[in-house]
Amino acid sequence: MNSLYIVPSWFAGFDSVLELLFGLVTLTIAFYSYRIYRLSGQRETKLFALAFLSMAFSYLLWPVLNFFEVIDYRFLIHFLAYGSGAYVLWILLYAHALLFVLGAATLVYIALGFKSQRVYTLVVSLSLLVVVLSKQPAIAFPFVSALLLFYVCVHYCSEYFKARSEIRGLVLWSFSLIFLGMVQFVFATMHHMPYVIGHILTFTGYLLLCFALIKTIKR
Amino acid sequence: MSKKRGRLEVIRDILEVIRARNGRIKPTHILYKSNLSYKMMDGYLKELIEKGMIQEQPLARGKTYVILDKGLKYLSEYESIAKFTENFGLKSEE
Repeated sequence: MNSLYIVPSWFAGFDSVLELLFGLVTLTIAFYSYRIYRLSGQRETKLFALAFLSMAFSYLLWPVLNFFEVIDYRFLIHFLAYGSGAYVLWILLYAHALLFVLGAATLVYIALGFKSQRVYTLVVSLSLLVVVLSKQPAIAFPFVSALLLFYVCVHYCSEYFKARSEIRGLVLWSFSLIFLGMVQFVFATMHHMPYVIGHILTFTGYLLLCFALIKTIKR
Repeated sequence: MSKKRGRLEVIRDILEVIRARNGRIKPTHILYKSNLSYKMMDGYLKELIEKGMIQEQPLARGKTYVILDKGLKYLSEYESIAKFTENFGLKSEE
C-alpha cells in the first residue's frame, strides 16, 4: 500500500479522536460480552467479545499510525515502501486492516449461526487473504470489511423483524451506519470527503450501539 | 404450542429446579421438572458440571446434583444475560 486515505487538512486530528472513541466503545462492548460469557459459558458471547476486541485494537492503532505520520498528516496518511525504513508503519497499517477484518469476519460467523471451528477458520482466512494478497489492499480492506458488515446487517435486520424492540432497532441502525461508513472508506482513497463522511457515519453508528448497550445493562 | 426454549433458558430451568429443592436434587426429579429427554438432560448436566455450576455427588444408591455458587450467580444474573444475548442477536437454540 503506498497510501491509504486522502484526509482533508481541517479534519486531521479529529479522525484520531474519533478512532479512539470507536476503540473505547468496542472495548466496552468486548468487556461486557466477555463478562456475560464468564457467567453463561455461551460460546457466541465469547466470540462476540473476541470480535469487538479485535476491532478495538484496530481502531486504537489508527491514532498511533497518525502520530508516526505527523509530518505528512495534513494532506495524506502515507507510508513508505517496504525496505525504506518505515517497516514498522507498514506492519501497523496491515495490523489495523487485518484486525478489523478479523473482527468483522468473526461477527459474520456468529451471524450465520455456524458451529464448526473449520468454518470459522475458513471465513477468517479467506477474508484476511483477500486483503493481504490484493494488489490494492487500500481498497480491498474497506471493501472486504463492508461486505462482511453487510452480512452482519442482514442478520440484525432478521433479528429485528423476528421480535421488534427499541433496542434491537438501535442495534440494527448502528450496524447499518457502521456498514455505510465502511462503504465510504472504499472511496476515501480517491477523494477526501468520503473519509470525513465515513467517520461521521461510523461515529453515529457506535453512538447508537453505546445507547443500546446502556439500555441493555440498565435494570 | 409453547415456544422452543433457547439453551440459556434450559440451563436456567434446570438450575431453578435444583435451587427449588434446597439446592440438591436427584436426576429423575430434574427429568420430570425440566421437560427434557434423558439424553438432552444428561448433556446439559455434563455441561453444567464442566462449567462449575453444579456438582455431582454420589450416594449409597445413585447420585444427586448440588447447585454451586456459579450456578446461583447465573440465576441471579439471568436477566442481564438473556437481555444482552437477545438484544445483540446472540441466542443459541436448544
